[in-house]
Amino acid sequence: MMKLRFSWLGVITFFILMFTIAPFLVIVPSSFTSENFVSFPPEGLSLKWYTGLLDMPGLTSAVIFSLQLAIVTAILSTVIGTLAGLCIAKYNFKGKQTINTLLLSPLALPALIIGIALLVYFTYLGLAGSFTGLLLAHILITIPYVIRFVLTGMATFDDNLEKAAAIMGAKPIRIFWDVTFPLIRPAVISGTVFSFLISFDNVTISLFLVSAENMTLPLLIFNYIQQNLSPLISAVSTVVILISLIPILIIEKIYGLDRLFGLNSNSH
Amino acid sequence: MQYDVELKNIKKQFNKQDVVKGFNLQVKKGEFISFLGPSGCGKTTTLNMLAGFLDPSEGELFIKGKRMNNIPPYKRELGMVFQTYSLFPHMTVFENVAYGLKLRKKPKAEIESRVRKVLELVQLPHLHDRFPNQLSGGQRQRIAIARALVTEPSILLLDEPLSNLDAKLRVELRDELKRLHKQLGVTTIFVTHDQEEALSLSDRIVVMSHGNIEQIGTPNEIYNQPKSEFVHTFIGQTNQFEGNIKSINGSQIQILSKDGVVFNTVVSDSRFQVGESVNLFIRPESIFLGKEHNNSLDTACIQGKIKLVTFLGSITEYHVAIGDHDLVVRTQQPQKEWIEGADVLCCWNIENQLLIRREM
Repeated sequence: MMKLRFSWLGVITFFILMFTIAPFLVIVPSSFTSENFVSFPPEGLSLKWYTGLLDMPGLTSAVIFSLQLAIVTAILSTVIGTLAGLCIAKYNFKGKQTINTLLLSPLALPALIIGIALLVYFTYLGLAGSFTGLLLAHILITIPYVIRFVLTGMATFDDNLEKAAAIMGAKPIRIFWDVTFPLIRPAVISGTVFSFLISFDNVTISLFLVSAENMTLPLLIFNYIQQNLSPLISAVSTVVILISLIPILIIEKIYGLDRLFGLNSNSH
Repeated sequence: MQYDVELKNIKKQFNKQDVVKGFNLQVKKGEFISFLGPSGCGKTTTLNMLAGFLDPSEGELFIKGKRMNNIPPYKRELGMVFQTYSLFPHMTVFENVAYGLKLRKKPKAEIESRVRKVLELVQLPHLHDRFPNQLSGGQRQRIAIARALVTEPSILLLDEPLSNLDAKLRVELRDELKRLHKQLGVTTIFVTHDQEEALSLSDRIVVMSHGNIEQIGTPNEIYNQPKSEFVHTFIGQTNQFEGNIKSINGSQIQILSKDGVVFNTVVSDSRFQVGESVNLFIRPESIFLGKEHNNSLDTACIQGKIKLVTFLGSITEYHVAIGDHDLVVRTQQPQKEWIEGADVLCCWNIENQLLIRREM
């Protein structure tokens, strides 16, 4: 009986995992095709679509633009989100719950609604189609992730650690850098990585806020495939996958992903 | 005279609730003081005010003669040990203990020698490079004590440091605290809800309940001459008589107990009136059994019949029936003739009794 249940579990697990990675299994091989259309399994082997990337109009500037946007978003969201998360976790004040809910509300609102609302608002402010507009929008939707991570990181935090440091003579700033921050660092870095990834592949909100001069990579791809579905897109997608993997690999190297996401509680 | 710690009418309110209601205490250099009471009595709040984590709502607080109101904790030069150990989990034992010295910018060689010395003091000289999660609870708390002592603080604050340990370790570390205090003579404030810890460690105990100080005294005074009903019932065991005052003759008072027994006792003041309802408290250890009244003025006696004898090793416990009431008596010197059914006289020194008006 047990054995049967375990094998069913195995089958279900296998299909779920296959479902998860299937897009990669199609996209990555199909970018190496020598044909002029997307096919699976690919026919022939060629790198011509990768060399073709260099000639794709607007691609290089869109990659650079999206990287810049994602990096600045990640940094600012991390700083603001960490401070907000610490404040909510550590202090009791009037309106705390309201602030918490408001800061997390972008998670609950449909992205489409946020996009439209921001377009109207930013047009009024003269920010529509600008880097600043996109940056503000991306910070808005990534801050909830940072706050969530920091709140989770602070949930097991022993307040007496800060008291112990204070009684030994550490000033508040010193306590933050010597005690508080090192202990929530995995949570903060998780927030940074998520912010980067979410900003880097966001379509729905950017859709309303990009302009011809300020074009993000996902929207460039989005616009391109509406006209033609060539293996060039498979090649672009493979590059995007690789870029998204970089931060994850770096963190795996430094911390181990299991620790980062709290799967392993040993914290040093 | 300058005290190491002086609290003058300290009060603390949270949300308009009085948590500490006028705390007065003077601590001499080298004293070991315990704040003892059940949870919610204000002992931890008072300690947090001493540490600087909370500001008193009213009153003044002095450490080494210096007014400390509104001085942040990092300027108070104190040492503190917490119930949760609270070692920095991302630092080694050495780094944990050295932290206070590093903040004081001591030279490296001095830090190393002082950390080594204090780790020897707590008898864990070999754990430098371990992380806290590689240590047992007892080891962690010893390291936490070392960390609190290494800066040679003027006052050592202990916030229930033994409460998270199992029974055997608790006794072991309690003796360790006693040894360290004897050796170093550092003025210590110890917060606990455990009467045994307070009685065994303290020079003086401050018994607290509901934000009030019930009594301040040596362990001996607290145990043998409790000054309030709370101290009587919270610490150790006690016998309670409910009754009315039948007559007063100078300092002699005759009490008619609820179950109809009349006995005489003596009080040092004349606060009482005939007909008043009173409670009399007396500890089992304070009662001695005998055959006849020795007629001295400072002894009160009551006649009873032994109902139950329980041999407990070093002591023997007697239940003596007085009317419908049982009086518990404990003695280390049992007599052969004290058997179940025997008539005995239960006597006590009036110093050890507490007679108070009963609140209706």
